[in-house]
Amino acid sequence: MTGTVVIRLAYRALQRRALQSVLFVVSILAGVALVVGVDVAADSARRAFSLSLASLQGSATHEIVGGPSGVPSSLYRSLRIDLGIRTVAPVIQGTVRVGSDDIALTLQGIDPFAEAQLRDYLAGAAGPPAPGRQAQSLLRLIAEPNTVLLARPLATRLGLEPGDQLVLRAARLQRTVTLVGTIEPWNEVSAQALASLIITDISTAQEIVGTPGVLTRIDLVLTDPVELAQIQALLPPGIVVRAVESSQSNLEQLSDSFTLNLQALSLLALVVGVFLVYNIMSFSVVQRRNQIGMLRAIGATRRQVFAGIILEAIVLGIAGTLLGLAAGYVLGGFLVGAVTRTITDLYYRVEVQALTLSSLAVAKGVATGLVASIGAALIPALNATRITPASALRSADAEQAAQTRADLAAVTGIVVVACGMALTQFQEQSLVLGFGALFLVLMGSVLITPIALSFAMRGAQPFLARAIGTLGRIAPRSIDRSLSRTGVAVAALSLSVSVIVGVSVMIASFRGTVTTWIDGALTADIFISAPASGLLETVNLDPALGEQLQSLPGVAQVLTARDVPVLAPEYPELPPVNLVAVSADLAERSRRYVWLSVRQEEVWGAMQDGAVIVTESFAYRRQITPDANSLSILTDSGPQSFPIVGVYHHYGTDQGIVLMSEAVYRSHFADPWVSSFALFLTPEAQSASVVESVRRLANAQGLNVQSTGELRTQVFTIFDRAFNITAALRSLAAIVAFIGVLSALMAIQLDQKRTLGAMRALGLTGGQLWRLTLLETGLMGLAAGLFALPIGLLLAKMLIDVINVRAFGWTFSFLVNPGSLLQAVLIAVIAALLAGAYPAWRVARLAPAEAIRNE
Amino acid sequence: MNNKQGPIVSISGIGKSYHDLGERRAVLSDISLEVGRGEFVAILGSSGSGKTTLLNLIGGIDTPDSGSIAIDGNELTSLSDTARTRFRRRHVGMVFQLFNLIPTLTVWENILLPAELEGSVSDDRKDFAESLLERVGLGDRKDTFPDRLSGGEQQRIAIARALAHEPVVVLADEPTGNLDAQNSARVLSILLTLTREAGRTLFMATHDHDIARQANRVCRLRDGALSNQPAPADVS
Repeated sequence: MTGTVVIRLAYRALQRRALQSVLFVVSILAGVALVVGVDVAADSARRAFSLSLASLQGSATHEIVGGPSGVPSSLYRSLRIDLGIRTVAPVIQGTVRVGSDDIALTLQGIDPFAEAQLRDYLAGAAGPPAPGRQAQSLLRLIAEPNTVLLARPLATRLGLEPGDQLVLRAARLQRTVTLVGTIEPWNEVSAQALASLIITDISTAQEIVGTPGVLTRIDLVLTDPVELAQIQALLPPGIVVRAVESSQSNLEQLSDSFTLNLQALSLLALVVGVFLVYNIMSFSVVQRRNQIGMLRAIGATRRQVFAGIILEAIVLGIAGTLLGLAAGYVLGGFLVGAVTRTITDLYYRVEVQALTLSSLAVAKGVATGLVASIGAALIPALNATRITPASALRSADAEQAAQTRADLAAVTGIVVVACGMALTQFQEQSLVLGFGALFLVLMGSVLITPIALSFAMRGAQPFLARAIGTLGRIAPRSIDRSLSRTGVAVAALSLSVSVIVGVSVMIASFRGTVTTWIDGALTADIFISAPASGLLETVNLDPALGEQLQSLPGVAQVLTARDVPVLAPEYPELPPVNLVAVSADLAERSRRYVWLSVRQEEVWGAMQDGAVIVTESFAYRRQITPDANSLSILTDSGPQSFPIVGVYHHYGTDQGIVLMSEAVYRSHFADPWVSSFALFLTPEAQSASVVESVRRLANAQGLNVQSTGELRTQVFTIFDRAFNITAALRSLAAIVAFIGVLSALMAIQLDQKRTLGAMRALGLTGGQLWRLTLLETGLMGLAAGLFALPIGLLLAKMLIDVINVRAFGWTFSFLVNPGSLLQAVLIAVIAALLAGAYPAWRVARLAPAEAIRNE
Repeated sequence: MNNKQGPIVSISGIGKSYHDLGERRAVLSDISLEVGRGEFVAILGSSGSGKTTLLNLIGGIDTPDSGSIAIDGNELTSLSDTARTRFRRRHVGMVFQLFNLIPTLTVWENILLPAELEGSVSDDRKDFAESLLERVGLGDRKDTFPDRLSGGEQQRIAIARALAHEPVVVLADEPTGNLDAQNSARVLSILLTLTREAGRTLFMATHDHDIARQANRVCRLRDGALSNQPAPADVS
């Protein structure tokens, strides 16, 4: 019975306050949509990659891999013939480009007979609807050289039909091949696996990739430990057999930090949403003070009052959450393009065929939406239970209580900030704890905001009164005396702007540091490399090209670099190591070191003697220090330990790099290839004409030629693209805050309707009231903007010193541009003024007779 | 202000109606009234009879649907909203049942508000406001905010505010309606004394016949019309 009354009262409250209900739903909707949207984008990218890996690995339990020299084809024969293993399949992998758009695809060389034992993605090539013809296409693939198979959707995308020819461009050559058939993907897994795959036979692949007699890996299904031991005994030094599960998870974790950063940023937007809901519910309680007082007088218990408010929050929270899930899915569709592009730029090639809305993302969305709704309503609901019939009519009591709460919140805020700062000292590698610390510091700062606002308004009041007169006196006082609502609105706006400041300063600092770094790193004049392929993919260029380049007029010196993934047996849980072997040190003088155990001018000498230097990210992930300063690498002759003489700053890849001298590399690996060339021109050479002649030579081999400037531009294009989503999320957080300020102002205006009416009656014109409202909102915006500066700078400092270090392992300088700080304050003021425009317009049109009615 | 001898307030045939749930409800119809300088006019009527509406029309807070209102020769109905507002803050003082002090202003700032909205406040005006504050017995509460005052004290401040800019007309809407008997008597006494001393015309809406007896004239509102204007002694 009492439950029915509670439900009826909650229902009527929702009905009567439609605008507030809508704002509540929108706040939760926006927060949940961002959280779910980012999850959908990240999950879709990860699932696409995971499905590709899983289906390409099929039922393989183990794989045999080698270093840069690969796995000799003879080993495959030994496994089949000497050991009699049937569930074994050789694989060649490389990147090729096709079409005028230069679409990057993975060339996969296989043995169709062996393949069927491990993988079923070829089933579509032999199955219905035209079994005879498709089985025939597999036979042609085996029997005829230079033939390939494509998934039907990919063939359609490329405008190809069976029988058509296509040109594959690889690192050193291009080859015309014939499409002998298409594969019909028969489920999501096969569709994903085949999305960017060109299938050919082993020998064609070896010719195109340029590794005759060498396999990328050999996949196996092994269940018998004896068999495993037999294989291990058969393997030459430098070749290992390992479980595929670990290698898959190692690859998948490459982009974990990137997606975790996005998820954390989306949570920030939700936090702003929680503030809005708190604001809306607080006001809803203030508005109903009389009604609640009356209910208490006629016998409603505190519990019933509490239940009524919470019930409202749950109903609105469910609506906001459900709409947020739908909006999040749609948003995910927009974000996935940007996310996959950045993952492809920075980590691995991935193409999303279908959006993934995982049950975990849904559960997370529902949980965050409902917890945020109920959590935000909790304090207003508790406040409602404290309303007594006697205090119901006195709004001064409510504001007095707000002032007391502001004091308490400030003390709590200081404690929370201190806890956040302390948390950064624990578990120094944990990114999740790092974000936890960041959230605590932000939340603590926000809790301090209301009292800071109160002090600021009290301080500003005499100046404003002198400068503007009566309105200048009323505005700051009005803000101070409506602290229960202005405090929350300013806190929400301040939080949002501080995120803008923090993220902007972090990005600008990073960009500034990268600029300095790249100017030091790009000391050569021209760079030649194969078109970008995925991380951890090897590109084999002929070193003879170096000699041809050296003979060109204007070229003073040609340096080479060999960029290969190698295995580090001490770190089986981490992805393979990026080893870069250079013929000379390009950035010898300009490189900045974290630490060095030799003098800087002795580094290259030490490297020629067998030492290596590693990047900061690499050292961070493997806890390499001046004391723990060696690295074991699997070479052709087995694991070899290399002393590390220095750790240097590098921002090219967060996976880290090991830099070795080419001579040392060649002494450990039978690898004749190079990956890129760097050219130094003679002082008198005309850069443009040399670039042109180099381009003629290199383009004939399908290679990219870039001047220092072009390479620099490319680096920053990728850099800016990587932060596009961050910028978008940052803007969305600002929009959520804008809605918050709007709702707070509307709430204040409704609450002060009678006072505003009295002012009109006493002689304040509509225009003066309009100016007063805008002055109040402008002051709130200014206060929020100014408070956001220290919070934002602290946030930036933590993003740089805690989050970036833990996520990517690199440190960079803290660079602040005063212009961007001013811009942030302006954003806050403009957002507040825009949000205040409608309430101000309403106030100006306020009918005083209506507003001052006694009831 | 130019009309020394004639009526200070001239109301001629005013009517006012509101839309209520789609229906037009006449609150006032064909009201005419002339009031001289320094008169105290009590407007009697039951709740909802239109007392507050009439005061709002006289103060220029609201506009009539028909008829005209002139205060000291100024035709209010021909003025724009802004001009009416300016007129109000110069020439009209208001006392409300719920006091309507501005909570964000101190007692002193509340009293000076209408004058300050006009621009700078002269020292004479400040001295006058200070004397009013002493007269209402709250000279020591200048810097206090309204929420620290009792209801009676707030209404006394409201009276000082209504008179501080030396208005032609003071409008009081049930000024004792929210006070106990003791405070009512004190507030009424202060309001009547100060307006009489300053020669202000006072309109007071009330349903208290005892208060009406102290008025120079009593106007009774019934069914939207001023049904009669009996002499104070006849009020019952």
